Amino acid sequence: MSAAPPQSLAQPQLIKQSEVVRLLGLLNDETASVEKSIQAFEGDFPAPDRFRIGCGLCIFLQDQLLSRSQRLLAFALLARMHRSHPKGSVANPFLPFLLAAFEQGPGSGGAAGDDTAALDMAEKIFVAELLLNPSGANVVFEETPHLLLARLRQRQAKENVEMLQKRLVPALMALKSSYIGTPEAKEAMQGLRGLGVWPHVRDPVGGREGGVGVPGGMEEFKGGGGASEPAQHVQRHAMPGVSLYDLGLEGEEDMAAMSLHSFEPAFVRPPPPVLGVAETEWIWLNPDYASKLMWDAAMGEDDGKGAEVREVMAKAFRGPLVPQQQQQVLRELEGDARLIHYCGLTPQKLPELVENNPMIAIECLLKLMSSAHKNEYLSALVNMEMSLHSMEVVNRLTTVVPLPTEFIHLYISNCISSCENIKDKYMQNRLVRLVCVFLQSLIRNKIIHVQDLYIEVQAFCIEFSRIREAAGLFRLLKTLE
Amino acid sequence: MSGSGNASLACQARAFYGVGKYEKALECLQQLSMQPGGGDDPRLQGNLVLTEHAKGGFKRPLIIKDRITTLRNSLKTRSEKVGSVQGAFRAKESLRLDAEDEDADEDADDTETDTSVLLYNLAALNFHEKQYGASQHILHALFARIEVLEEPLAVQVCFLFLDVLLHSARGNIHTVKDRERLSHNTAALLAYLERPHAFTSTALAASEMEDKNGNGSADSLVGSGKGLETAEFTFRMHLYKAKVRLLLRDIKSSKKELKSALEIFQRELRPNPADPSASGKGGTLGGGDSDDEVAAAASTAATAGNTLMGGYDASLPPAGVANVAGLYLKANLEYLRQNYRKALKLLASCHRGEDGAMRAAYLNDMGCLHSKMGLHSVALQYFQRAVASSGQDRPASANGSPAGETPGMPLLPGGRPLETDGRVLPHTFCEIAYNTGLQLLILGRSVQAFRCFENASLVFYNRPRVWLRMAECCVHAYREEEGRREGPVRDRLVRRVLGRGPHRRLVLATRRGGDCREFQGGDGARGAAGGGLDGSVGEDARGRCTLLYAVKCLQNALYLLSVASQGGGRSRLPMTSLLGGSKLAGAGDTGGDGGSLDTSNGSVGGGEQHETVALGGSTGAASASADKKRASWQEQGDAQVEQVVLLTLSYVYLCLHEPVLALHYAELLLTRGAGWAEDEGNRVAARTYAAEALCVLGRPDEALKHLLPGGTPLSEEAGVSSLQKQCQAESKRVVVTAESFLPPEHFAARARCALHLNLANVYLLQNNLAAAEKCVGLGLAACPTSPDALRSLVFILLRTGNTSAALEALKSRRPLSLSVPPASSTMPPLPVQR
Repeated sequence: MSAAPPQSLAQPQLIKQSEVVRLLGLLNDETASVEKSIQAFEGDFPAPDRFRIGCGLCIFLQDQLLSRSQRLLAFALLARMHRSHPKGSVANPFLPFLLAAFEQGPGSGGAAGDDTAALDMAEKIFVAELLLNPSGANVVFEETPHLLLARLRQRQAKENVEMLQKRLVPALMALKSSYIGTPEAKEAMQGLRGLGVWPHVRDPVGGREGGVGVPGGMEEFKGGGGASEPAQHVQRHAMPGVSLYDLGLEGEEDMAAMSLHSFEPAFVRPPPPVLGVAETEWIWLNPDYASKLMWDAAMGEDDGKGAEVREVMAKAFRGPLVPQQQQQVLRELEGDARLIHYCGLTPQKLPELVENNPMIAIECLLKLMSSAHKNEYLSALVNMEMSLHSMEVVNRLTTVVPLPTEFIHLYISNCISSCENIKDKYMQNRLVRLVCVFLQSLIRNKIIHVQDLYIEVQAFCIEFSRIREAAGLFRLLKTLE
Repeated sequence: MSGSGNASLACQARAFYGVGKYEKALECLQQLSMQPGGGDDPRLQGNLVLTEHAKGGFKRPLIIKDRITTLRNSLKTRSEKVGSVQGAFRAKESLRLDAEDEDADEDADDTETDTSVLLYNLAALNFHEKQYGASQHILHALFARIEVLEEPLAVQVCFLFLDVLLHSARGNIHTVKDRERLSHNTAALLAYLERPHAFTSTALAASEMEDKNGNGSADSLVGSGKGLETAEFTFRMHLYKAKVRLLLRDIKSSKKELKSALEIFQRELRPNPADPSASGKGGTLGGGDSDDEVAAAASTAATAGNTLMGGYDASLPPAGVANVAGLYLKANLEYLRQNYRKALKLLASCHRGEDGAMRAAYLNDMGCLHSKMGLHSVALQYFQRAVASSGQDRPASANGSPAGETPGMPLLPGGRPLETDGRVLPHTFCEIAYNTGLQLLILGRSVQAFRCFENASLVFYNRPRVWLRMAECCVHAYREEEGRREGPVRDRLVRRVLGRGPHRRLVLATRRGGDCREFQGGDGARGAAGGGLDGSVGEDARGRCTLLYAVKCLQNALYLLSVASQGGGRSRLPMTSLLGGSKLAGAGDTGGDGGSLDTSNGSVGGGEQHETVALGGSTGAASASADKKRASWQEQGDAQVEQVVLLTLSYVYLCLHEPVLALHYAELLLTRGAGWAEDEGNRVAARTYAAEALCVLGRPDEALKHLLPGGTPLSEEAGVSSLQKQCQAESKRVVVTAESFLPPEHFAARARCALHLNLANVYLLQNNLAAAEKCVGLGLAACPTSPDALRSLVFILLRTGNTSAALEALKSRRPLSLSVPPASSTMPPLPVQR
């Protein structure tokens, strides 16, 4: 499988091949002075493109693709690119790069046979002076880079290196610290990306400047090795200057490899777990025992079925019924088991029915005891105002069907609190008597366990001990103790 | 409308409808509608709609639905106008069961006329279109006043409700909570059905009478219409109970129910070859075939005061369905008991090369069986054939109803036809698509699997797992694409060689992962899905198998999980969404399988959800090894799904260069994880993601805390012991990719190596070069062949200026140890990363 990325995934190019050719033409021109070259650069490349071209220059410098004199020119171009900025060097985006070049030097890039250390020092001084004085006042830019290099070497030979260092280094440190204070510096890459190192590893094979001796093996990597290069390429090496061929930037893909991205340590990122396929996840299909659309068989039937009962029931909610009507309702309810569900009785209506027609209410409730909505009716009964009728209904119910204990307890508690809250003395006495009789009936019929309500009922008896029935209930409690 | 003449005419119409003479039925209805007041009778109108469409073979159910809805709305408007509070059915007003009914008001009967049959038909049509939510909504309201309904209707409501619940639960019962919910919901329905009913009691009474006369027997019961009804009803009850039990994986009781059902079938329902009228006639009145006979029978019934509503007669299925339904359930039982061969035989015995739904179910079940038997490619074949088969009756677009609009489905203006006898039958396309997706995922074909899950999501949009699966497909496809882009492992470090001679230089791979946002998913794989999968979802509406889409899927899953954990049975998606917005939103409006009979079960905390309940009851037939295997398939609770969702989200955000979000989700897992059952593997992964995110954010100190949670310095012993623990957890992780077949030691070694390398990165960020070097050395020792270790080594060497050693390492393409010699040379080779 080819390692080349698909076209659509290729990253945008930093610098075009034609631009590299023009740039190399500038750099390779050994006859032009530095100043002329800078002017030619500014003429050749419009301002918006200069930053990209500068990045390309950085790459060439970093990869040590240029000769000593070309490097000087490249540094001068980088330093002078933003000379007109009011903030001076601090505003130059290549300042960090130039500072690093000053601090680290060109490394092992010295050409064979040259005085590497001397050349390195010359370059450093040149970079330092460029940084401290971007307008180039102290540097004679009218000379060709070659001559400039020679002059710098001489100067270095003449002057005391250490003294120079003493002057330049502190000044550069001051520049650096002023740069670190700028917002641009603060926005520098954080995290792993900030750790990155230059992703190009020099691996020179043969050639003019020698290089690290590598005993074969590089053929394994695509691009071939120096040993197997055709004769014409060797010939092109002999020509002055650097060519696209030397740079290895002949193809589009090569150009795509030019970028400022660095080689970073990668975090090992394990893939997330895939949720195991559970047995329950597979969908087994069983044929449907399909339901059909239904014919409405009630078509043609009298919609008014039960209307009569509903009418009578509506009366029953408002007031007591005459005995005949009562009988009619009870008969109809007996005849149709479902009638109770649509005779108009709702939990909200129940209290009215209880008050007005307790007998019908009892029958209705008995019929509703098998319904799923039993509890709603019971709770309506519990929450209604206490009266003789409601107690009658509850009493009857308790003797016929087993009612939930909570319901009875709640009802008794409500009875007691109703008695306590009533203001009218006469009504209070009446209600207390009723409640006492009701409780005695419940206790005697063993519908409630006295122990469950002992304290509450006892307190009730003591509070109303003036009433005879309450005293009777109290005695009953004591006998059961 | 009244009078015995009208009643007789109504009975005749019904009788003609029952025997399939729709023309005659229509005539009767038209006569009735001529009568004074007839045109206004909503029941008559409802029956007219039904008969007209029955005449056309129920080809356009959506139009029936529209007309029924219109009818119902007009009734509502009429009753509102009248302002009457004396409706015949005002039970609703009082019988409000719970808060959910506020929602159900719309469907509750608040008209003066009883519209229960209309509502039932509406629910059935919704069910047919797989709009389970809407159907359940109506049925819930009907069931709340089941006591008011006529008995046969009540029974049908219960059966339909059971069908809806079973359909929406299949493939979605993963936790004890799910089981309890299904069990609880179905229990109420089954309890109602089990009560004595008028038609069962009259039949039993009749049989007792005949018993007393000395000639009563089961046969005589079959001979009489009532006996057949009762037997059929009992058979059906057992069948439904078995279905519920099978879904609940209660093998023992489902076996019992099935046995009872099949016994009843053998004894009482099996068609007698000597009596052709007995077979294929179920569901009719049992009367003669000629018009006169039908009319006469109907008149007699009418004059006798029998309104033909006393019986459970209208729903007898066609011959053969009962038997096949029983056999499929038996095969299902054997499948759950892992007796795959037996299940295969059972399926083969009832498959007679039918077309349509039955064939699709057969092929799907064969796929399930083969998948369980480990024959994944065969299973895939079956599933793909099932998809093709179910594609024949693929769901159609609704006419004006966004809910029915399923992208890419052929546009049938009237919707998917019902069966010709008016039976509703939801398509199984989405279920099969889900199974196919699972199978494809297991086979590592993620892009195709993605398409399948996408199709399944049209109906199962409220199941978090569907969204998680889609996201997993996206992640898997992304990793495949990454692997393809980076080339073989051996070439991943050196991207290019530039320049010649003295200018020759190696360009190392720089940014990891490229720009994920450009990754569009392998649409090249489209067209290879096979079967009828392609084109099921319209091209424009298709989601893309990308990481960005994975984020949306995972967010959906997370939302659904949070809804579920809050105790809401009914889950509705936010109306933002994926498949072109309105389409999915439409589906979310009425479809889906939310809802429950009881909403009072309150919220359920996350803690109890990690069940370890073994599946099903033990049976004698199952061997010990099978039991062990079964036990290993423990149910995965929502908590586990949520953990995977959070982890995947964190991973995806890391890939998308969103460290803040990645960190958020990783930490969410770590903090919430306290309440969950421990899954060390997930925690280790979460810590790693959090550490990476923190490193990207330039917070190495916090990253170190994640990588060394004990806070111990990286001394030999402490480091190794903490590592060992983490590695063990890592190696326990169960994945379904090909990597899962590698030995656990392999995972352990890789995990150890990864941890050391990540620690090295953290130390690098802390400018602690020596510790970093040491960690890289340890990583190399753990896994000397790891390309990640090689990368770290080269980086360290370059960073320390040791270019020649870096070159050497790059050339030999094997990491030269820094200081620690390789621990083991017996380590298996690293697989090509996906």
